[in-house]
Amino acid sequence: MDRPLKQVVRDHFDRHQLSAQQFERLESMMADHAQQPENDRSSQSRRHALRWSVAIAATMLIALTAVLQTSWLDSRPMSERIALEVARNHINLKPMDVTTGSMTGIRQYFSDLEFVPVESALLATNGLKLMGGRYCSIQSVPAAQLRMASAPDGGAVQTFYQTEYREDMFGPLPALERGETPLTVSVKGLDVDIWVEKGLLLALAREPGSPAARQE
Amino acid sequence: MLDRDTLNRLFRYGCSLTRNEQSSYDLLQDALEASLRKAPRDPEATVQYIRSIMRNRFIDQYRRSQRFPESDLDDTNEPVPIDSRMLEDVVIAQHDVETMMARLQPMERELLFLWAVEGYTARELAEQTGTSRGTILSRLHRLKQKIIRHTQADERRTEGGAA
Repeated sequence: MDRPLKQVVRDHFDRHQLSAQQFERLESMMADHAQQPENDRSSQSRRHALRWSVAIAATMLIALTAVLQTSWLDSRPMSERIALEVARNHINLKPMDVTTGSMTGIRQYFSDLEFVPVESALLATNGLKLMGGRYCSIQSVPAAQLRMASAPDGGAVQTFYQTEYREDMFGPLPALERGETPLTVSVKGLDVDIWVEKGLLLALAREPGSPAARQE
Repeated sequence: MLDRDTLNRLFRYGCSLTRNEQSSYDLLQDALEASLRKAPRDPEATVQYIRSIMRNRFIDQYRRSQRFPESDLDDTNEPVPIDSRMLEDVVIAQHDVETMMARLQPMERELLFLWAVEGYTARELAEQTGTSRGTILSRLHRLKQKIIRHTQADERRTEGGAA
């Protein structure tokens, strides 16, 4: 008979108990420590304090480096930050959550997003074949990563990102509906096309030389 | 001094990582010994402190033996808008639980344990495991899918066998 997962898991772990012998060994270890002379422990504390001071100094140095690096990253234009994040996702190429060749399959799977994934007019003619997708995010906004192959039998993989376009967060970007063309940013050896279409921010990460997101 | 119930809680946490009572005991003993040198005064903070030591030592041991890939530990996928109660509606047969546990990765079992036995919310899970809430939600989502997928596959096999 099926039961709630939570209850089944609790029952499963409740079966694991320390034996009386194991419990006694642990208890005796704690008791020995409690009886240890206080001065032994304070000299240990001094040694630990010294170790901690060294560790804290090292951590502060690392943190300072990280802060300087982050402020340098933050000072970049938003389009470059988007391109950099998209390029990292493209290079990591983590496993897909869903495998499907149709946009209907994609829309059914990404039902937890606050938007509906769309087909872009710019990708209609460049022969990309949809393979599937996974959840991701762009600048911490939930997004869909769709994976596409540039030829029917495989070929170079391109990753296509979609997220809700928030102008206050992403700033002004080229909008297809205004007749503008995508912005292309070259980063980490990749070309990333970024544009706004149907109210969504879209980004295509591709190897240089492969077809760009352009209207025919 | 930790009481028997608390030690058993930690022992079960070790079981969620190792799936082996002896290894879990070794991990607990090791972590308890380390914690005695500098344990927080608050009992619940002590439990969390010992659990962190157990987790870190377990990860070190397994990374050294390369028994599971690094990506199982470092999936840094960011926020996914999924409800943290998503596992509440999953049902499973009691006799399938061993098979399910065997199929899960150590970090997935840990997540399941902390959610089901310790009753942590997504935010608390994030604090406990040192990851973002978005990553936890994403992991819970994938965990649910994995459990459902395996349960359905088992049902199909059983039906096929019966036919």
